[in-house]
Amino acid sequence: MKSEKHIEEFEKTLSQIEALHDEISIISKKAPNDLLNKYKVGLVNTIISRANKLLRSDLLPFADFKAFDVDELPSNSDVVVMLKQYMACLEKERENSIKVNFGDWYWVINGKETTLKTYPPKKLGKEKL
Amino acid sequence: MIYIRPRISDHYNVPLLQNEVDFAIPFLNEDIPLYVDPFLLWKSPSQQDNALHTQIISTFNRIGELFVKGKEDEAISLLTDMSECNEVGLGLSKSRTGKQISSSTSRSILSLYNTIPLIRSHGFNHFEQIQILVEGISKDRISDFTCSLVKSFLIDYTIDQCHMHGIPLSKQSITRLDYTTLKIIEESVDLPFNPVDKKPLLFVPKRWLRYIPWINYEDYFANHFDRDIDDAQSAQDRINVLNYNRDNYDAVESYIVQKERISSDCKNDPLFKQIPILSAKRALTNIKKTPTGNKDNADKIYEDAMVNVLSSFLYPHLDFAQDQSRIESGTQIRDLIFYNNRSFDFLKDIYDQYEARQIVVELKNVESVQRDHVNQLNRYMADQFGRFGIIFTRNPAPKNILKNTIDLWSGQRRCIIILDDSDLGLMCQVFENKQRYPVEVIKKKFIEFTRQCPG
Repeated sequence: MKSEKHIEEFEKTLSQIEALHDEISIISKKAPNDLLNKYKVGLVNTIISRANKLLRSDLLPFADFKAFDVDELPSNSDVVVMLKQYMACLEKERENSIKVNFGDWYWVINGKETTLKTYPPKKLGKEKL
Repeated sequence: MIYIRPRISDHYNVPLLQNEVDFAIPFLNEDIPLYVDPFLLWKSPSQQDNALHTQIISTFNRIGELFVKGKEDEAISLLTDMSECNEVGLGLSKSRTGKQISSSTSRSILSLYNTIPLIRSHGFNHFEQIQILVEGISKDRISDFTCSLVKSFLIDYTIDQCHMHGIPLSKQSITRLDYTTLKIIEESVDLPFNPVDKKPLLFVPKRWLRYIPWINYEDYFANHFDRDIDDAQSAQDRINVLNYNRDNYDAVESYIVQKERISSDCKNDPLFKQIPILSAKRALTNIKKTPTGNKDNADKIYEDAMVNVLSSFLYPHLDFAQDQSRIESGTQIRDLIFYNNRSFDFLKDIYDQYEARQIVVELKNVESVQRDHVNQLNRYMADQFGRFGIIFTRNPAPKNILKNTIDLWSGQRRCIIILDDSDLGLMCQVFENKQRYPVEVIKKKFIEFTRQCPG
């Protein structure tokens, strides 16, 4: 991470993507092929474009994907799949930017450990042995 | 460019959506199949409409009074003159012209003021009653009388609406009733004119229109007329029922009272009504079940269902003009025509780029679209429409046909997009869940098409 502001922006974006994913997943379970309305697609695109700026190019889910085209009528399941991809990539980026110290996890800024606490990597304990 | 079922807005190139304007957009060659129901003015929450109704009734009764006071010829001539109002173009005429009632019918109407004491003393409260008292008076006549009696208002209303929507006006000569002198006068006013017959046009508020007047003979006879009064009566024809009504005016009066009591049920009819979602889904299932080809009239079944669903799906963004059939190379071809009102960004694009003032949708109940089908539509577009057309078929078009449409674009800048059952399914889904508009499915196809085009 570059700065505290960067971390703040990162955390906000990640939690918004997770919230959107939760909400749209509920709709998608009921009607996966239904189309998302323009307003919601706009919201998703705003957050995705913010995530694109936060992620290093090699960590972007798909090199040629920047945002949903409103006119291509994305469905609920299309959006859920993509949000999940972004969540995974943002989490990967987070794993690369945190360190453990006596059981607690801290953000790292420009290679230096900070006192900014965070939660452990989500995959911790789920690794294949 | 020739229009199919042209409207005044098309002639002046003013993009109007029927759903968004306050008046019924008049056709240039034919009437709008709706009628002005004076009862809607009576029950309207608008004080202006109520006042107009009062004026209609008082003027009608004043003509009756004229008749009663011995000026019979004058009254008959007035009523006859007011029995047709061609300027509004409502009814079923295919030529926008109707005929006035005869002098004898006028006399029969006005004689009611002599023969029925209650009418003589109090006049009519709802002059639509004449339908159930006099032979030869139907819903279109009630509508025409109403329009003639409020013509002065309609002139102002039309001018107002034309200014609002940018429809050009020109000096036109028009006759109307002068309420103070009870004389028909001719005046010259600024009005839109019909380029087909060069006559002035008047616009009518949509809120006044119904298919059948609230008070009408059929309803009276079916629901109110007491057939048990006289057994023989039930089998009698309309003339005898009318005679009975004149002799037993209290029956008519009680019918009117009853209709007034349930007036909250009286609503204006829309010019176009979308089919319900359930019907749309049912129609889609039927379409999907229908086999391709023309065996057992499958093509006809497919086309009929498509007319219903597409016109509903695309409303209100595309006003449906009509469906029509033509014969080309011995094959019957069915297509749907929509007015392009430029109500959507993509519709404006195709209007600007392809001069698509009306959009033609050709229906093909075939297993696979052939080059001939594309060429047929291309030739047809050249005759009448701009350079944009849609083929609706059953299965996705083969690659060589898609390439053919792209070549057509490259060579002649003509855009033919091909939609199939899956797109129709998506339209139906969108129609149901209301998250997007069905017209956006066409836009999506259009964008996909343009992305494949070279350059």
